[in-house]
Amino acid sequence: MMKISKSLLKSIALGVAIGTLGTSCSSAIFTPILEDDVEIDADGNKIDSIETESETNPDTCEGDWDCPACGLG
Amino acid sequence: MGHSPKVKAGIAINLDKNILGAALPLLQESIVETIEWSFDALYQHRNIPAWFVELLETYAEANALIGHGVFFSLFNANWTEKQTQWLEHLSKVHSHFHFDHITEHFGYMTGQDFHRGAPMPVPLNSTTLLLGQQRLQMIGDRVQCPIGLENLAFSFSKDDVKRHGDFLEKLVSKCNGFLILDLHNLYCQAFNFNIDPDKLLELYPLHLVKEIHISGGSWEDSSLSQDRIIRRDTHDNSVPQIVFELLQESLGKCDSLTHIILEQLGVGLISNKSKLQFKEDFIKMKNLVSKTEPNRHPPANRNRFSYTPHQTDKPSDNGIEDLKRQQGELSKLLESSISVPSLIDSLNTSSLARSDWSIENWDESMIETAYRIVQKWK
Repeated sequence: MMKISKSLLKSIALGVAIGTLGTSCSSAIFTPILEDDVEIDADGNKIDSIETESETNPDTCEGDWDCPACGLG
Repeated sequence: MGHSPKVKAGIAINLDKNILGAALPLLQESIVETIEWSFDALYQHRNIPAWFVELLETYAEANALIGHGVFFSLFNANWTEKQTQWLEHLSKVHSHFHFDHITEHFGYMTGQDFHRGAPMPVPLNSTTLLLGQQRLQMIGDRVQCPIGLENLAFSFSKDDVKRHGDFLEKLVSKCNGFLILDLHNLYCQAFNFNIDPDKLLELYPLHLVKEIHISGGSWEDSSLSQDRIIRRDTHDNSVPQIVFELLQESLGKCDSLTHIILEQLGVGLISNKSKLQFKEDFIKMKNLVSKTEPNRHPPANRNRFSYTPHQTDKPSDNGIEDLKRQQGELSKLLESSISVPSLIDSLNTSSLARSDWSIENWDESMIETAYRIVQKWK
């Protein structure tokens, strides 16, 4: 059993429902590792060719059918 | 005699609404015992929602968060600033979350920017062995926790498929590391090279398997060989029955197993039907683990895979220079050839010909597959 607090489950459900993941800054632990490649617009969204190529899900690199993220996609 | 550590059943999660949407019912039922997080896959994000961090922290506090790297490019002979940054990023996230263990993939990424490349195999020789050991040590020195490598889903030749397990053992043993046995990757290799999956399983160092992955994939036609199809590790479908059968087989043989992870990409989890199937796959996986648990063979030392710093021999300068040139040439040919026949012609006159890459034994349909992947990701 791995109990997760009700408030956290609610927050996840809300994040999933509204579909805008990554709207509030949490901490500095996530400084992007490739900052020099990343441009961010006023809303915090990345402006980059990779993201625009990924039509299905611009949120992560896992947004395409053949993502190399998990071995050899 | 001790007891084997309990095997934790978990899922691969990242900041993706479809993955999180599929995971939510499982999280609500408190049945996800561990989370695997690709800590380097959020490079496009500057802002991470606080609740996602809280989710990771919740699992980290229970020693149930594992880190799975994607973009280090372990065997890239040409050391780059991106790899230095990757190590720094790893140190940072690990100091915050304290992963139970950390893993990466076998292979090197094509392309100048690894995020626009694809992972490719390397020749299994002394240069790559020493290079891989050196790079694993770099990771281990940063994190001081167990480190492991995942078997690759793709090879150019049957010979490489058969030697992969042995090579992985040599790579990880030097630092007391472990293996992630990705059973769908193994299935891809077995299918594509017409090898009995059970027999291929026997060629892996199962005593070093601490983690198992299961996932689904897809089929692709080969234009070079009529009626031939290629199994691809696309992670966009539910888990095929044969992978569950391999899981059942493996559970009885992997005494050091502590984690088993279901992986699926968000793009394969858009519909409610696919989300329900994901849940069913997870429960099926968890039930298989529970059934096998009482029959697992003790002892398995909890500290079995503690990272052990070690002296590594350096690969020779000539070996590294050759590898740099060959990787660069292969990447360039895969990215810029106008067709597969032209790629094959170019390979035959490249520095990879008559070398340890053994391109003379490469399967043309697999060259085509590599070409398609790199063309997509360049």
